Amino acid sequence: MSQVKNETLNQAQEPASLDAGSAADYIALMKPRVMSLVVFTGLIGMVMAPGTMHPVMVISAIVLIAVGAGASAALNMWYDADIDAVMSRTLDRPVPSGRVDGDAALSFGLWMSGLSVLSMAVLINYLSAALLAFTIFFYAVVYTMYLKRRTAQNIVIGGAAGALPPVIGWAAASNSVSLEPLIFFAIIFIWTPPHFWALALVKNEDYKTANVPMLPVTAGTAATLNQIVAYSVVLIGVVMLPYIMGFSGMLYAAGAAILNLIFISLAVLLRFANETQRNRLATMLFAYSIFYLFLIFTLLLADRLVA
Amino acid sequence: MSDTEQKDANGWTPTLLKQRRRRAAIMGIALAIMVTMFFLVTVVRLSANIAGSGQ
Repeated sequence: MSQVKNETLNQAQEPASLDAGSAADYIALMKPRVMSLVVFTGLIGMVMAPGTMHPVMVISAIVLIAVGAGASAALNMWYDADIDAVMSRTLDRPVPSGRVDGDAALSFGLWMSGLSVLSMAVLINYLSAALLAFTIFFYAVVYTMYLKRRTAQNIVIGGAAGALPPVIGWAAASNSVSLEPLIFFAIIFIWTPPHFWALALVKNEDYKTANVPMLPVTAGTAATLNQIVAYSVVLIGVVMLPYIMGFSGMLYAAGAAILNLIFISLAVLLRFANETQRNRLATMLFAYSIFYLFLIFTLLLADRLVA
Repeated sequence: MSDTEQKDANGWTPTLLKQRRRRAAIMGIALAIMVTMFFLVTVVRLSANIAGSGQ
């Protein structure tokens, strides 16, 4: 009896189960680069909202939005470990590389999700907590577990999760949601497809190998390029909405117009690029789109501060 | 982690122990941040309530 018990104990203490990954691996699990954009847009939503918010509350809300975003990223990495393992871009992520055990990533994601949502409810308000919970659910379950492997519209619909942080920020500050944060939502929602499809064009072989139905895989390069141009045209219109609807002034309008001009130029250049130039231009559009979104939200804030 | 590392009675190697200590330290810092956050928000809310009740 005691021998069996000792054997069981020894099995439980196998070094493989002790090797639970380094702290850096857990940080990588939270996709810190994606988190920075989430935190930034969430902060802008909070600052733009009516009323004043104590700095301690602002910092707390931002930390909780960041933890929530990190939690959903950990759940995404747990579920996607099989496809991450066959894609060169994601091969070295903590779970497919074996540095963090899948179960550890799952429990980390679930604990962080619960902690961020409950703390948001207790410390800030129920509306922002509900929106944060919905965002985590939408990204981890609707996008990762359902849309990503089933439809070419995965990142179009799934983009809603990435577009919600400014709405959460607004709700945290004002305990309400109005038209203004919904326009911020629309900007990120429409920005997501051309941003991701530019990357998907470059990493097309990866997505094919992993059997992920990204638009370039299912519809081909030409159709994707047309869609990028179409979404870019819609985007430049949506980005001008804060000015058209009187939320922002000339500073924003002028800055956004210049940024839009560069965005649509890159999209059109990519559309008509030959095969040798295509990957370079797609990489440029992908990189520029990140810079573009940061600057659009910075302009929104700058315009409000000047006004 | 090297396979040649010496394991202790529980199967821990120096590298794994170092990793565990770092994880524990970061978890401790994260918990301290959370406790401080709860404390500060409580103080802010109490201050607002006290200021509000005087009006």
